[in-house]
Amino acid sequence: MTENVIIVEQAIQLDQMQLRSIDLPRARTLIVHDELALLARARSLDPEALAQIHETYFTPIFRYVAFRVNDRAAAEDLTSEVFTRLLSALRDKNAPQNTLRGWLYGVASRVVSDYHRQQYRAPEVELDEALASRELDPAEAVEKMMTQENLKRVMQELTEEQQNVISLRFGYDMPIQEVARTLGKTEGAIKQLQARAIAALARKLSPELAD
Amino acid sequence: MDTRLEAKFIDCLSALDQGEAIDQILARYPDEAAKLRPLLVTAQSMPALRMEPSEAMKMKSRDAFLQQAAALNHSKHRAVGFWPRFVTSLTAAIMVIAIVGVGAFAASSSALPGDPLYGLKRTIETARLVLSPDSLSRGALAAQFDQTRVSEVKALITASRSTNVEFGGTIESIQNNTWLVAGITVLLNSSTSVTGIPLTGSRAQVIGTSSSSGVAASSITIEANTPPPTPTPAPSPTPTPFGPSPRIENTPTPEPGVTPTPTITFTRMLTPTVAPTATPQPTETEFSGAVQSIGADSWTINGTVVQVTGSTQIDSGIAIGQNVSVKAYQLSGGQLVAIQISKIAEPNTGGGDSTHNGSTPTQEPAQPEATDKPQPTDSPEPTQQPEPTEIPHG
Repeated sequence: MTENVIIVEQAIQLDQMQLRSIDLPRARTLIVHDELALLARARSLDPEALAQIHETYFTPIFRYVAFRVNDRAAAEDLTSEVFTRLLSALRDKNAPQNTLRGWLYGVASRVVSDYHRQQYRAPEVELDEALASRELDPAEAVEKMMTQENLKRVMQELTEEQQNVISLRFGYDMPIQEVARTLGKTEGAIKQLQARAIAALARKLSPELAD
Repeated sequence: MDTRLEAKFIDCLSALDQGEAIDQILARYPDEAAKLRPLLVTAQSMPALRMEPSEAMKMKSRDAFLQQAAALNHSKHRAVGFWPRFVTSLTAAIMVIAIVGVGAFAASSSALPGDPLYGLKRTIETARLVLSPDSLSRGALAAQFDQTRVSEVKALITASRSTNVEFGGTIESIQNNTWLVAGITVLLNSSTSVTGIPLTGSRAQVIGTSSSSGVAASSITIEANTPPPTPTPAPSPTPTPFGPSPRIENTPTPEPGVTPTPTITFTRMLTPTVAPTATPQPTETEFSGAVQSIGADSWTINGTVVQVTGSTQIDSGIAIGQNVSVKAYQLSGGQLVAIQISKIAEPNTGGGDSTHNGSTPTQEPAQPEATDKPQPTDSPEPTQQPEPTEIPHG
């Protein structure tokens, strides 16, 4: 329990530090102090607890998956699949013991990897307006190129590790510290991965930056 | 990107994370600003570019998820179910019979309060309740035993026997100091303690002494959240906190011959000023105070824990310490599920009247007796806020 309280305090600090005024969906998913109680109820398949878990985590999981899968319908199906796997784990008593959030991420990550393994890799499509961007200042070019469609395409070209960091940071709303814990790396390593991933995205969106 | 630039970019990202503007950050790196700017622009655009799930898809997924869970629950019960429980029940029954003897076991079933075997009868009842396989049959058994209590008291009254009794049932009528509870005349006197709000149709637990004229009550406890038999309007489609809950219990159909709108005139009672139209279940409650914690699924406001769900309307930008007003459902278990949490504007006319500022420690919404609200709050809420829109951060 003490550990839990510390997590909550950290989460609150992170929230205040990072968000200035609390952005609610982010705060909700960050603070985990009720997770243990919720998990205990979920283990007995209490529908109210399960509904609450679905309500809390569907959106962040979807955002995470959607960063990594270039198809909305597939992202929705894969997100549902994460919850189905949670039920199987509860049935088989393999459910997470203390951190549902991290556990769900792990499942989401595997579900996405499975999906990619099964997919035929379509040939890369030229980015929208790619030629136009050559005449613009690099910052303007990036800004113009940063569309959902383009981002999804270039995301696929990152390494799996980079995709994970980006999706967890911006999809799952995890602060650096938590990403580090979840992926079993140091904060420094995550910061570096994130920086390289963003730089790679920027370069792919605006070839002028490639030097 | 060379390592020197990368190190600077990492610092820039941390600053961006903490809310600094790009121009402000780049002012610290004038030589590298041109290279860093497009990278920071990319980083800043990321959160806004994420995809959001459609509400319809989310609902569909949730329904499927809960259906799968229900199926799983069902099969789990069946699989573990019958034989182990049957053996346990059988063993327990054999032991009880072996200890007390078959004759006594059978004889106890007709015992009345005050009889030597009455204790055994109650013990057997308790054992049956404990051993019943699921909450459904436990509920049915409990209801059956409640009925047994009523029959016992009626039998005692018929036999003019005076003994201590306890029973529960619906209050059928209230006329001064004579009430009718579950068909039994209950007599009140100046020392009768009455807890709760006496309304016909409510459920009451009576403790007293039987006699030929009825039961002289020493205490009557009225359950707070039993809806009265007054024909309540059809439950309005108020937003449910989430999915299938909360359950709105069916109001019991009024007994034929019972006036649906009782006029209660108490001579010695607590004389509560209660309109017979109580709030429908679950009751709505409102309170206000400072936010003490913001959790994934519950908040603490002014010492009171409320659950928040996806349906809870929450003003954006609420931080810890903010004074808020809360509208919540109170479920039968006493838990609160927030319908709406709205900011209370800080007083703009000097800080003198801070008591008006929502900090109302006297209000204690966690009490289940919330049905004494004078009116159901079905008037449009003046503080109603539109659905909070998500602010893309960055």
